[in-house]
Amino acid sequence: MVGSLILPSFAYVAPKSLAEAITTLAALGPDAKLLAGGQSLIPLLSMRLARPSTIVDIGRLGELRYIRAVDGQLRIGALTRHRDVERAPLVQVQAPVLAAAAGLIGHSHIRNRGTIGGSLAHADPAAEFPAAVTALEASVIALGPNGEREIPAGELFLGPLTTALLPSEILTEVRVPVPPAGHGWAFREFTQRSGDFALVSACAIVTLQTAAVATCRIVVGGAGPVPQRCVGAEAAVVGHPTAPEAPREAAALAADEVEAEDDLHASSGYRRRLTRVLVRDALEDAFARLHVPQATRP
Amino acid sequence: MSVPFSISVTVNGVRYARPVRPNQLLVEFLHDDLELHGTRNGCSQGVCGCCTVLVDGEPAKACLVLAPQVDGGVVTTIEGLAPPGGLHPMQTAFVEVGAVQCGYCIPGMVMTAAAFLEENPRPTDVQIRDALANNLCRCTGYMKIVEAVKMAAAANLSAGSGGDA
Amino acid sequence: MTQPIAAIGSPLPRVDAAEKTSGHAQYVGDLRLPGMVYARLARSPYAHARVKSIDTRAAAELPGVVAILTRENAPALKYNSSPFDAVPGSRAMIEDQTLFDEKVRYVGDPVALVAAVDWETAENALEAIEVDYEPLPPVIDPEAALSRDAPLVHEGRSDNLIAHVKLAHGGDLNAGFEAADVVVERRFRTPRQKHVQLEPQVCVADWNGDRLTVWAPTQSPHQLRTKLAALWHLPQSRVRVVSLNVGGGFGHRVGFVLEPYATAMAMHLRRPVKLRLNRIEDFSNSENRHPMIITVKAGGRRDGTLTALHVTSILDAGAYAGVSAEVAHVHANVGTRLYRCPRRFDGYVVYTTTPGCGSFRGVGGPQASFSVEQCLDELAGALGWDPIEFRRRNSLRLGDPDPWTNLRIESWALDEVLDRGKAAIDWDAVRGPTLRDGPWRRGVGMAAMMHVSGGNCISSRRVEGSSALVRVNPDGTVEVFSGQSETGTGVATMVSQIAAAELSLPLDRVSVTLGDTASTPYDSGSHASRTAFTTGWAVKLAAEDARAQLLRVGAGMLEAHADDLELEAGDIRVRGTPARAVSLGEVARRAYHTMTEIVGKGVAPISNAPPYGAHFADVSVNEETGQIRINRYVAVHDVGRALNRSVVEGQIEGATAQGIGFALSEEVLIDPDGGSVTNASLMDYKVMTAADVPRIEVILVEHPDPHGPYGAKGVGEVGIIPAAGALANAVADAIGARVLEAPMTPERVLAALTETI
Repeated sequence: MVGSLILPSFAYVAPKSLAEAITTLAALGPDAKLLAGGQSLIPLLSMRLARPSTIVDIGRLGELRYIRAVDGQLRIGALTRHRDVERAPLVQVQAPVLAAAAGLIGHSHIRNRGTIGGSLAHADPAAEFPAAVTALEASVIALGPNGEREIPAGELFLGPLTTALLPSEILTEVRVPVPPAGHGWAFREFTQRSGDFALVSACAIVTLQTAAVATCRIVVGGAGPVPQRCVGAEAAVVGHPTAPEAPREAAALAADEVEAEDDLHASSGYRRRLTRVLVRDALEDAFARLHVPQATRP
Repeated sequence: MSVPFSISVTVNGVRYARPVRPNQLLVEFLHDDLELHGTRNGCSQGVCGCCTVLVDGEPAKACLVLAPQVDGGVVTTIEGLAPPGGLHPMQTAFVEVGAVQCGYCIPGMVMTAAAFLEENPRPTDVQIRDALANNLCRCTGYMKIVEAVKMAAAANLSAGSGGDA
Repeated sequence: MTQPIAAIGSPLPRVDAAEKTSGHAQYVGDLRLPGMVYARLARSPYAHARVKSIDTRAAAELPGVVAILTRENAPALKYNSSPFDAVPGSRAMIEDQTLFDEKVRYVGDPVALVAAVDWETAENALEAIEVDYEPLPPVIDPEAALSRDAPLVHEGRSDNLIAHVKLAHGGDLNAGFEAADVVVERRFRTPRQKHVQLEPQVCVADWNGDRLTVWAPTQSPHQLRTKLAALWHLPQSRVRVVSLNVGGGFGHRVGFVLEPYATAMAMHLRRPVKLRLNRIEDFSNSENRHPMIITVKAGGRRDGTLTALHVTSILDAGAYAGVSAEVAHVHANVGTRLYRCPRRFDGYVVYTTTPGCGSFRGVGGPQASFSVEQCLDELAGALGWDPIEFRRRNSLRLGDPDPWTNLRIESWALDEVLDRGKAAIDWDAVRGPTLRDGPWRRGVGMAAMMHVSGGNCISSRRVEGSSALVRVNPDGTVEVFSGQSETGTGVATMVSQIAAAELSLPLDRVSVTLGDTASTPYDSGSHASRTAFTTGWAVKLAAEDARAQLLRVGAGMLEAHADDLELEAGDIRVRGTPARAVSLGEVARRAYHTMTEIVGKGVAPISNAPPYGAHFADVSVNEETGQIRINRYVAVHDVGRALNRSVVEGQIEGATAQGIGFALSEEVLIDPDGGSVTNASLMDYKVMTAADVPRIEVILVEHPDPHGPYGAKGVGEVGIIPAAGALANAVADAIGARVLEAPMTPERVLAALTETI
């Protein structure tokens, strides 16, 4: 029965390189499971909710732990720890919303070991990174036996704990298009306790051109099975000035358009209500952070 | 049954070459195999923090680490925080403030608190409470644990201001 | 390095703190005995089903499986988990439990016990056991369980009602309601709360064919021994219980937990057995705080007189009766005792097919506070009275008979408690007017309480005793022997401090042996706020006895009259002639040489004392999300006399945090259809972290009671009782609406707000 906290039996391998990991995974077939930081997978194993034949531990592949700026993108190795993302000046400056989201994950011990690739591949609908990368219109690189492919974040999450990754693929890198300097951003969430998964989270990224909002991306996490773009709310903001009432109006649209689910922690109605509050607050924060970048001033 | 294989790991300065099962958690390895009883399992979900240890110098929950993952690594448990027979300043503070009741959570709390102060020697109350939120205590209501961390921070600072180069 | 002479009241560091902080303290889970096997329980996935057959063949064939017990081969024992059947003067307990019955009555009810050479084998064997169940209709809702056509949880009974507990005090209830200007009636619901002691349940048992030894993290080693001897029809002299360090109790470990199963396997195998629950099982398969549905009706006059109070509670006892009827009595008394008006209680204790409920710190008290204290608050408001003054006006008084214990009230502290709390929380500044800060609305509220110091005299005839020994060794060191158990409450420190103070020694000259029935005198254990009060008495008297013996021997050595001697700083000397002195060690050594060992014996008197308290909360409520933020929290408690200030504060802080959890976040959720626990993990059951619990400002008021040791009163439970009432009243002050269901989750608060808009 559920409740057994003796892990099921499995074999364990720790490939020495990414190439070896790909070969190993292909040879073992779909019953093998990748282990990165283990902060989400090991609890599942403890509950015997996952019963892999083999654990393929890629957690110590140093080649997948990096943060680089390349061609207007941040490229983040899949095994980069939450803590690294939270603290890297490169992330804090170029994609501050991602650093902020990282800082909200669990507590510090979890952030010490958890990895961005592991979090995205785990695809908990209430987790911070899935919502943030969706709002950032980031993509991930999936490497398989036949080479790599790029999956946009908007197509990665198929449902709770379900992604578009194939069993033979390893998520190797997250590519984050760097939002223009001066963009406004915010990540807001409502949790029951410090460090809990969010009942609802809201991520907003806004850019301004002259006096009107040029782009606006609003993503709600935790409410439904996957992070959700609120296109109706976004459309209500784009092309208009950042009026004080705009966040409230957009948030009402977001609350209507999100798919909200019941679970043991909250009703769908309450999640909708939180959506309205959090999207409003996130937009207000994002508006407040909008500024004309120093470098472009005459 | 899982097939055991050997790992080599340094725990509290002692090198071990030991068989572990692939599905063995680090907390079981430390508590059951090495009989370092201060590292305890309270929830198996990474919430209670009773199993907090340092893995390669960083705090980690030993119920969220497989024993094979520490092959070649360095682990410090509560028993290795201070030299044998002595107490770490954080342990002294816990004793003096009266932060200990049933004691089951305390080794994990101390590990978290000691690592936290290393990183942040002048913490605010809010930062202390955020750091301690890695661990649960059911006896104390946290009041005296927070006090202990503050006391240890103050003791550290006054000790540090005396004689550093 | 010489320590000072221990003094009563001094916040001395706990004697067990260093070993606990360094990781060296031993708990039962750490034990590994030669030849020990590892045992796990197989459990029902159904809330209610007949067990048609069990096939253990595949499991038995797994390499490493040593034995499997099921109802086919296990002894047919009948028992009740409560410790109180071992207590003189207690009510009879229904013996409705057996190891493996023909029926399972909750999701998790054991059907088999596997012993194997290691945990993994035992776990895999559980999965290989095949059980054929005939599902029966579950009985989840306690009100539905009371209906005439509800399926019976226990066949052979006429209905699902375990007990109808009635109580009436203070005169004619109906006349009281008729005399009222205003009557308020409200219906409340309180949650199934879990202890979440951080050490999951575990038991090690060994039977060598002659003697049964049980290592269990029990709060009551001697009562557990009494129960085990009765269960197995063994002489008590052949049963030994050892508790070691207990990783938290909170009421969970007063009676049987895993001991019947562990001992059954040990006796079956004649080898040591370790049985444990994991955290998930600890939630679903061990006792909870009773969820209750409580209707409170209160009437009062405009002159501020409370005229009538009627409390009607339905207690969901779960699958087995356990201590439930007793819980109803405590709940009734905490709910109705403090106020003088005519009052009545009706409690319906009912079986359901859910995990059993039992004793949990405060035993029915938090439920009483959440309901009665809210209703009285509302009544006070309707009558135009300040809640504090309304309570003050209607409470018992010094000299009144205490309806719970039938003792007269001989110490009174509620007025000072109320005054101190009112000043500390700045009541008048926050109460009443709506203070707003954006979406946050601020308010303040309070709740009052009165409790007991142990179980003596409660429910009329109960006797819960303590005795203790104090031995003075030839080297002048002192040992205390007590049958108490160190569950973390500080009893080892407290008894050491008492013995040291009585013998005028520093704390490090005293050692203490606890929790081993083979080497300690009887003590009914750590529960009911009795440890400092009753065990403290026994140790004090034992130390006084030892002191008198020392003085007698010393008198011979000093050629003086014992009455002229004094004991000071480890020496016995002639009063006024300090040069004429012998050390305590010399006296003890002389005693040994003359074949008189210095062993003092103390037996606690049968007494009780009422501690008073009140909590005051200043909160802000977010009208958009329903979130409650605690701005300030003040807990004022009359403790009689604090024997060790730090330990006393720690008890109150910890209990208060649990009370705040009960009020705001903690609830074991049961699937209304299947009956399983749906949040059985620390991930989903919300025990607050350090970042969530507010700073708790403890104010100690000390009104010594003539019946307490040094005037002390019980402090173990008091903190948990008024928290929910105080917080609910503060929320009502903030938002102008009552939240009638605890925990007051943001969603429930928002619903209450929405209803009033």
